[in-house]
Parts: sequence; C-alpha cells; structure tokens
Amino acid sequence: MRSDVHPLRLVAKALLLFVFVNAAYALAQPPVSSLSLYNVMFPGRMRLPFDDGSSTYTVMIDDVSAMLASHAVAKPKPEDEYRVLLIGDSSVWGETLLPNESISEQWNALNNQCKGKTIKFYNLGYPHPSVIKDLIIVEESVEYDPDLIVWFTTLNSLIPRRISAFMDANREDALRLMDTYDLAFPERETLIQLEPSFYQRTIIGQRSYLNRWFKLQLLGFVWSADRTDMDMQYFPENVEGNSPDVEDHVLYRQMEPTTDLQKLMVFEAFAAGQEIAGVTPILFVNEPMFIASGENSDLRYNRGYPRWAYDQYREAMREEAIRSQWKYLDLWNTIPPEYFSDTALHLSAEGERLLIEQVDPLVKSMLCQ
Amino acid sequence: MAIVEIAILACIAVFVGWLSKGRKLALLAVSALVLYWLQPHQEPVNLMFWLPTLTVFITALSWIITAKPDSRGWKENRAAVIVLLGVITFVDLNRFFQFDWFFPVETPRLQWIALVILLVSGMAFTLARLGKFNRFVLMLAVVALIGLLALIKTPSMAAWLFEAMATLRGKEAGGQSSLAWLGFSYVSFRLLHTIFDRLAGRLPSVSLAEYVNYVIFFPAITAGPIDRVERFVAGLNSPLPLDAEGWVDAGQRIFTGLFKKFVVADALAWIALNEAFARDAQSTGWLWTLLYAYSLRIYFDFSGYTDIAIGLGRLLGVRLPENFEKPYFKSNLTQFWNSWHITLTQWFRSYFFNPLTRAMRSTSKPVSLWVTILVSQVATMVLIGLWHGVTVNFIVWGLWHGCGLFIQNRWSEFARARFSARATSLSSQRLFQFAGIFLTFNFVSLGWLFFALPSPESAWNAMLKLAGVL
Repeated sequence: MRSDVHPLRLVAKALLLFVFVNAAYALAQPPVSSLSLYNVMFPGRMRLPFDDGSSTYTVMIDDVSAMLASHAVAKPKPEDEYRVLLIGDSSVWGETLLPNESISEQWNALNNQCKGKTIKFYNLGYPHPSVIKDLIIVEESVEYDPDLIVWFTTLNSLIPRRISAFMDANREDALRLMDTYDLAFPERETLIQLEPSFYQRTIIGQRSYLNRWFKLQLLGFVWSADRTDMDMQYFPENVEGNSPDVEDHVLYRQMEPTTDLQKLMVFEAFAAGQEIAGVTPILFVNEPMFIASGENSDLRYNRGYPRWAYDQYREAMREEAIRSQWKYLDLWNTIPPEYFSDTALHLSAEGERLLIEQVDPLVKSMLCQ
Repeated sequence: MAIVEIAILACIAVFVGWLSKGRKLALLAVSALVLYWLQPHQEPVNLMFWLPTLTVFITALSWIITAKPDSRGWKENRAAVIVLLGVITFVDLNRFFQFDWFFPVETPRLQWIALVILLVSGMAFTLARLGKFNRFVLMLAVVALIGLLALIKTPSMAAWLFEAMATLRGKEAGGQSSLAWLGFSYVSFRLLHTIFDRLAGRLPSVSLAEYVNYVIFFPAITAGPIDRVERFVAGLNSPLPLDAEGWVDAGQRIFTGLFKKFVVADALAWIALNEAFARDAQSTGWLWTLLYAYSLRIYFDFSGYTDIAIGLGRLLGVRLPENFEKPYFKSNLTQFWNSWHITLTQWFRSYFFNPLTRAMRSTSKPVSLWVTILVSQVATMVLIGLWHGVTVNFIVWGLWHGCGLFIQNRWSEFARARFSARATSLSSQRLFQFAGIFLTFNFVSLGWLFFALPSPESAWNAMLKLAGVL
C-alpha cells in the first residue's frame, strides 16, 4: 500500500489544502474571539486577561471580545443579582494586587444586598489609560445587562495619545466609535492605515493572535486550580513606593503650563458612554492619587501630574459633569499617601478598601432607590 | 532545537543521504559541525568551541582504546582524521568570517588550536601504536567518563567548575550552576557501551569514521535514542534507499514529531505543573489536571524529539531504534519501563541490572530472590535518576520507581496465584487492564513531581495537596 504513495503529489495536495484553508479563513473571518471555554468548562476570570510580565498565569490578548468572553461577566446574569461594571485602567484592574485583593473582589466580599438582590461587582479595568479604550469595553459589555457602570477616570485617560496594542487589536471598533461620536484622537490617521492585509487575515497571518487565544483557553486549567492571574513572585518585593520628592519641572507630556488642556480632553467619550449605556446609569469617579509632600511638591502633585495640568483637568471635569448632569465623584485627594503602591494611581489592598468605603454609599443609593 | 534548525538539518540529511560516494565522511563532517552549531553559549565563559572539540577528542580517544589494532590503520582512517581536524579548523576560522548565525562567539586563536591538535594527535598516535589495551586502561576510561558525567551533572560541582573557568578568564561566574554540554549525556553512554562491550569482547571492528558517526550522529545528539554500535554501523554501511516509501516514512515521523513537540508539548507547557502552580493551588481536582498536563507534556516533548531524530535518520538511510511505545497505556510499571526511553532502560539493563542480579545470585551464598530484586531495581532506578542530574530530587525519583517496581513485582507474584483464575471473562480482564493502566499512569505522574518541582519538600507538599490533606 505504501508504495502507492507519491511524495510529490502528497506535498502538492498538502500545499493546496494549506492555501485553501488559509484563504477560506481570511474570507470568512470566523468569530474565534467570542468562543471561550470560560464560564462553560472553567469559571470565568475575575479580571480581564493581562500579562504582568511573567506570562505564567496569563496572556496578553487585547481583543476585547476574547477578553470579555473569558471574564465572569460573560456568564448569564442571575435573577437575584444587581450587576455593577467597574471600568478604568490599571488602578481598577489592580496591578500589584492579587485578584481577591482587587477592588471588585473586596467589594464583593462585603456581600452588599439591595431589595433582596446581591450587588455583584465586575472588574473590567484594563491597564492602558485611554477613555477610547474604556468606551470600547463599555460598548461591548453593555450586552451583559449591567445595572450600573462605575467609570473611573483620570487626566491621562482623558487625553488618549498613542495607538496601544489594545487599540490596534480593536481597530474597527475604535474607528467606528471615533466616527460615530466625533472623538478626537491624534493618531487616527495612522490607525486607519493599519488595516490588516489579506495575508494578515489568514491563519498564518493571525498565528500569533490564535496562539495567544489558544493559550488563554488552556490557562483555564491553571485559573481553575489556582484562582490567580498573576505571579506574585514579581510582587510585592519589587514594588517601589512613591517618593515624597518629585521632579523639578512642570511639563506634562512635554506641554507647558500655558497649554489649554481642556481642548485635548475627550469628554465626548463620556457622553458616548452615556448614550451607549442607555437606561443603565453611569457613575463617574475621579480616581484618587498619591500627593507628594516633599521637594518640588509645590510644582507637581506626583511624578505623573504637574499641579497646573491636574488642576485644569479637575476643574474641566467638574464643569462638564455639572453641564451634562453626570453623577460624578471627585476623590482625587481622599486616600492618604501610605495607601499607594508602585505608582501615583495604584492603590494597595488597604487603599482599595478605603476607596470602596467612599464610593459604596453612592452606588447603593443609585441602585437601591 | 527550533523548527528552523530542524528544517535545515532535514535538508542537510537529504543531501547527505543522497550522496553515493563519501557519504560516511560527509555525515561525519556534518555531525561534527552540528555539535558546534547547536552547542549553547553560556556567559561569561566561552565554551561554545571547546566543549564540542572536547567531545570529538574524547570520542576519538575512546575509539583508539576500544578499536582492534587491525582497524586502527592510518590508511583506512586518515580521511576521517582529516575531516575531523578540518571541521575543528574550519570552525576556528570563523574568527575571520564571523558567521554569527552559525557561531556567534569568538573562537580561539589559531595557534592555540594548532597546539591542542598537535598534543592530542600526538597522544592519539602514540596510543594507536601501543597495540591492544588492557582492562586497566579501559576501566580507567570508564571511571574518567563517569567522573566527567558526574561533574557536569552535579549542580554544586558544575557551579564550582564554571566559577573556576570564569576566574581563569578574569570574569564573574554570574551564578551559573550547570554546564550545558550538548549531548554529552548521550555521548558518554554510547562511549561507555563500546568500552563495556570491548571489555566483554563483543565489540565489532569499526573504523574511526563509523565510530565517531555512531557517537555524534547529529539526528540523535540532543535527545537520543542510544543505539547499539553494531546495529548502527550495519545500518550506516547498508543505508535504506530514499525511495517513495522512505520519503513518506521520514516525512511522517518528522511531521509527527514536530506536531508532538511544537504544538502539543509546547501548549501543555503553559499549564504543566510548576513551582508557582503547585504553590498557589487551591483546588485538588484541578491540581491533578496540571500534574497530568506535566506528564503528557514530558512525554510529547521527549517522544516528539525522538520522532524527529528517527525521521532525520531515515532521510540519511539509517533506521534508529524506537524509544517510546505508548508508555502511558501500560498496565504495570515494568511494562511502562519497557516502553519509556527504551534505549536508556536497555542500556542500564545490559550494563548494570543484569550483571548486578547475576552477581548477587551466583555467589556461593546467593542472596534471596526478593532482596536481589529489591536491591537491583532500586539501585538501577536511582542510577537512572542520577543520569538526569545528581540532585536529591532525582535520587528520590529513582527510589520512587525502584520501590514501585519491587512492589509491583511482588504483587504480581502474589496476585497471579490468587486472582488469575478469577479473571477469566473478557470484561474482568479489561477491568484489570484498565485499573492497571490507571494506577500505573498515576504512579508515574506522582513521580514526575520530583522532576517538576525544585525540591523534595515542594514535591511532598504538592503530594499532600493532591491527596487533599494540605
């Protein structure tokens, strides 16, 4: 039987099949991203998959559909649940914190009840400061029937400036939202030019993404066994606290204090979020931050923000909230410095608890009244 | 080896296999070059040149002391000598060509190489003129090889050696605790096999080219299998034709190996039990799945490389021995060890287990059967463990399997007398078979804890977690 096989014909057939399957995949673009073993075979993740650098427990996937499909929020909502989505960047995701120390899980541990229902918090923060990134997540996650969205914001996120891997992976969504809601983004033209070629849409062209998607599914075994999504070996030993002294310059992203930042802030994204959320209320929270008290603290609040820039932001945010009648909570200076971890915006586990104490009453009042 | 390296080696294998003249010498040159090409570089000591050179020299010296005087003639072997010295010189000339993709570090100055070649050649020439070597010299070679293997396999000694070499070069060792010497575990066992067979008077007459080809055959240099010299040389001298069937055979093995290694094993590596997973585990059931993932990963990784080696060998017209035969579907531990890393197990059976058993049973006051079985099985498995590395973990792993084999042996004796008559129906036989497979797989998997985790304590803690105790 073996001698009937012609190696050259075999190779030719294999090549043809290879080309056909790749071309078919490129043309059909099957919705691989929305397929997930999480919430079916494995419990859903508490946080969106994000690679903290160790790659042991998680993988950088960036595609919002795949990320949300792996999250516990993708599970059908029980009758007796009030669903609260937490949107924001790394401080909400909880860098340097284990999943059960992050804001959502500490909040869930309080077992808040309202009208006979449990208030369940879902951590949809993702470590990249961009209000457009937040809006993409809000748009995708409203399908999961939230009762309230708590949207944490800060100056950096309100002035998105670069094309992150997240933005690239969700390019079509980003461009559509920018067009629909007239969102300003300095790299918009570059993003348009990043349209994937035919080759990039084939299986071979997408091999890196498919490999990471596959890894995410397999990591369900590890998630089920360990209930962790980051290797704490990297933390907290490596966490360097905030210094009370800050740099002696007043530049914010190379901008001078004479700059009118308000023109650069994409408040339209919040308005778009309101429109997308529909009847679901949104609570905007200005994230607390570390406030330096040492050398040059008269110039800067911390390493990230000079005073002039942040003051402009706070004022603009306050005015916009009043004008647009948003529910808005400004918590910028409410957490003492010792409760911050490695950056001016990352809170320790105890810091997250203090933050919860401040937001919790308003959340309850918005849900229960 | 990466996929690109395997693809390059496959092309080279096709070319060498296609040669009708000078095939053996071409293979010798390629195998020697591959030694240099695949040798890992370890900062700050530059051993990329010296370790492969040492492999070639040790192999050549080993041939001199094991070969029969009539096969050591200069005329018959000069081509092989020229090829080997040519390869060494060619690699060293890279200091002028600087092909970084082939050899990314600086090679020694030519005068150093000339001096070393002169010294070794002089020694080899003198040895070759001496005639037949007596037991003492051969035993000395055995001790030297085992000593060298122990040196590089013992982390503390390897670290010391590394530090000494770094100091000689006026550099910091940088915390290296192992010496990555490409293929030396396999090379040394092939050499020991020829020396033992020479001592027993079984070694066939082989030329230098045949001998060195056997020892450093490039498809089998990184992960075996450990062939027998007479079998390998017979295949080398009567190569299988690379006809349609040969292409299909080789292609199937290589692609199966690539799939096993780069798809299955590498994917399982993401979830295979490791120190962090074992430490953070909260669920007993899921922890078992991570352990099973490790068991499967180690199998697919190793057997994948073996498939690739066998496929590459087939392209060269050489049929290498099988190393795995569905080991996880075996219903007892003895069968498992007859189907896992088969060539290594056979090596130990031939040169340690059988002689030890014979010695214990053939004395004037023979040791009882069960003591003989216990001692020989435990000692063999501990030695197999030590072959992987001289650490407490591997010793415990050896003890685990040695005791397991002994218990299984005694249980089989006990059960055969009592239960074989009852298990007559097909269904009951299947039930026993399934139970055996389940028990064996789990026993072997628990043993892998000593491979996967860094210390016996962490392995023990993981066992407690798996038992639901911790």
